[in-house]
Amino acid sequence: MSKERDATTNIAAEKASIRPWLRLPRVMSEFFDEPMPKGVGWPHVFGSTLLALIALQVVTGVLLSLNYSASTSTAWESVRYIQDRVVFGGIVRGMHHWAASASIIVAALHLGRVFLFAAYRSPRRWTWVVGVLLLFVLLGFGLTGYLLPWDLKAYFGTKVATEIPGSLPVIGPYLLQIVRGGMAVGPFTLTRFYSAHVIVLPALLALLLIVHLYLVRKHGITAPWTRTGEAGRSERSFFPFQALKDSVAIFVALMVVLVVAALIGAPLEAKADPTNSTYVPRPDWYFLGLQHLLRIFQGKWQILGTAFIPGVAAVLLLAWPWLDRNNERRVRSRPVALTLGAVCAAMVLGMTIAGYAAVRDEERRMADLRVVPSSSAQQPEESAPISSADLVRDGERLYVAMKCDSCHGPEREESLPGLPPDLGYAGSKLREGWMRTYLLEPHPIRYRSDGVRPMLRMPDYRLSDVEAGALAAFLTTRTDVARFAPVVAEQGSSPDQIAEGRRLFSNYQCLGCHVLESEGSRIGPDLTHVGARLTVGYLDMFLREPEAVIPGTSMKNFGLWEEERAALVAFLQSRE
Amino acid sequence: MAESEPSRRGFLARVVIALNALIAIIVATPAVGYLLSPLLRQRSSQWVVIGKATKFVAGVPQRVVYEYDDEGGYSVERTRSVAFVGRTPGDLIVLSPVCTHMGCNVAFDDTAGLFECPCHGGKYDTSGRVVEGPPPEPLRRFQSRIRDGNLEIQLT
Repeated sequence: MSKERDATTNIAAEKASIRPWLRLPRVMSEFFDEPMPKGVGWPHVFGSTLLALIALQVVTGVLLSLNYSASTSTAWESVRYIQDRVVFGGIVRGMHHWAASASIIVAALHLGRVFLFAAYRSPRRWTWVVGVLLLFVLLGFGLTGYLLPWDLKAYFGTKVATEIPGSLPVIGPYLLQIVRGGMAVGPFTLTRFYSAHVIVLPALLALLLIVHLYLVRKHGITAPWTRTGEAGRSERSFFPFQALKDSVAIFVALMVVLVVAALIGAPLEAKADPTNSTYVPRPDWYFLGLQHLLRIFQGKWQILGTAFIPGVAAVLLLAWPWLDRNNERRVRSRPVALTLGAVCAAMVLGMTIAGYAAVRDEERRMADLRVVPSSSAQQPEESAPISSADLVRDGERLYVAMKCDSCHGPEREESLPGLPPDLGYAGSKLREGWMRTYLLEPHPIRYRSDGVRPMLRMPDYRLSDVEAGALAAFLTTRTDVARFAPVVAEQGSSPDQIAEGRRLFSNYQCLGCHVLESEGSRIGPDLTHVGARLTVGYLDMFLREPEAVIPGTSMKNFGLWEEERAALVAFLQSRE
Repeated sequence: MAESEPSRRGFLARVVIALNALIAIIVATPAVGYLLSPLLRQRSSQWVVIGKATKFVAGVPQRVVYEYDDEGGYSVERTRSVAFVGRTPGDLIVLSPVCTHMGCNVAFDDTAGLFECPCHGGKYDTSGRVVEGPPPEPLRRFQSRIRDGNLEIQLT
């Protein structure tokens, strides 16, 4: 006790020596000057880090809600608007998406740390209980937030997740309707989940968080490696010693979230389509283990996976401080508890990995993915020549398997310009060689409105030469002869025609919107290698009626004469 | 070691404050950009047909209900709005019905020959000039033109 007083006087003396502006205001200093027992350090940063991540979720969540519209006809559109049009929208959404995953990881680490340090014993039992409830609330946020973008992933993931309460005996069907707001996942499910995500759960989170923090502060940090009831020697105050470690951890977590948000961003698949029958439902990664239980227990055993096992696990987790009656906190003196903990952690991890593998398998099977033998993909020169019909068929399977249509198909939303191109008539528009090169190495052709950031959402799928060739071969067969006249002028053009085209190109000030050899502006696509990219038929049709080809395009209809068009097309074709 | 502790504490306190300031800036930058997004959006203007030009004859201003596409970012909604068209010798003027005081919609009083605002009694003459009450400015005039026999106004 006297040692503790010494420590407190030390802290007071230290504080007196600090410049006044570095001293915390009284209210804050009472909160931050909490004495830390000896041994508290880096393992104790997870609680603060989680708190910071939750704060980040509040900030980014409020920002997203400013533009989000919770209706099945506009939810997906508004999310895409945020993603593509709002300044920093992609980053804010990416941060919200990845900080959610980070919160679950950090919460697990925090729980693991408390378990390892046996910091849940009396008088901190209720701190543990409230903490576990907070974890459940976080999972609730994940579950409800998953639906909000209203893309395929959201729709089918939620459809499966809501089947779980529906599988309960007797009350199941009623529960299902209450959760979904009807028989099917639809507009009422979306508004329900939205309400839960932005009103109910935040209120619950705030309440539990206040109680949790109050209890943490009231009972202090558990002195590491002591017996229950033993007070550890207090050494230093929280501020600035532990605060520095916490801040470093928060900084690292934030940077990880920011970098992943900037590099990968949050995914947005095609808009929810209840008629899609090939989509493999996939919940967010932290529910993969639970979903896997449903695969293991089927038929009359299903209830084991849907209710019994998760229910028992939740109750055990909540009741753990009362079940563990050991007074020791040292690792060596707790073989049973720690073994049990390790086994449980390994099971959760194992189920998650197994669930992930199962989803991957299902996706492969569903799509009959990678029909091109990988051996021939690696050594194209040794493989037997593939007939063009086979190549086209392989390309078609790949096209379906890789869900190219979710961005390039006829169902994609056409209201916004700058969209991925419709590939329904790819063969009439794009040259096969160019498609092959582009698929192997996607590169920007268009730029965003600032003219600096490339508009490139096409991922690099790391296709093999054979796969890219198969896809290009398939796409070449998709033509629209009625709209894009068969390429009559393909035989070549005279130098005079090209020169005339060059003159027209300058006369019509095409460089006002297009780039040619790094000159011009980036409002429209870069035309530097346009000859290698686009067919004569497409160029001719597009110059004639831009609106008819790409509704909403910013390309003007210049009302060109036929000879003018021919000259311009000849000139553009010469840019290879 | 004991003597250096206070200065170490002071140094660490600064590091903590600096680090947290950095964290705040990193989060605030995209947040502020996002909030300011509406200001950075390009304003678009469109010409909207409000009726046949020949329909508007000299006399009292005519109240016209017109429709236009209101583009709200991710949705386009057909929206109805109102304008007053008045014919002065040699010219057509199209006035916005929005009172410049607090934004209520004015109505035209035939007997007085004035636009009257129902909210605070502001009054404007047929060319939109303030004749009475609190409005600080005349009624806004739309840019207008006649194309293919139609009267069009520019919405911004």
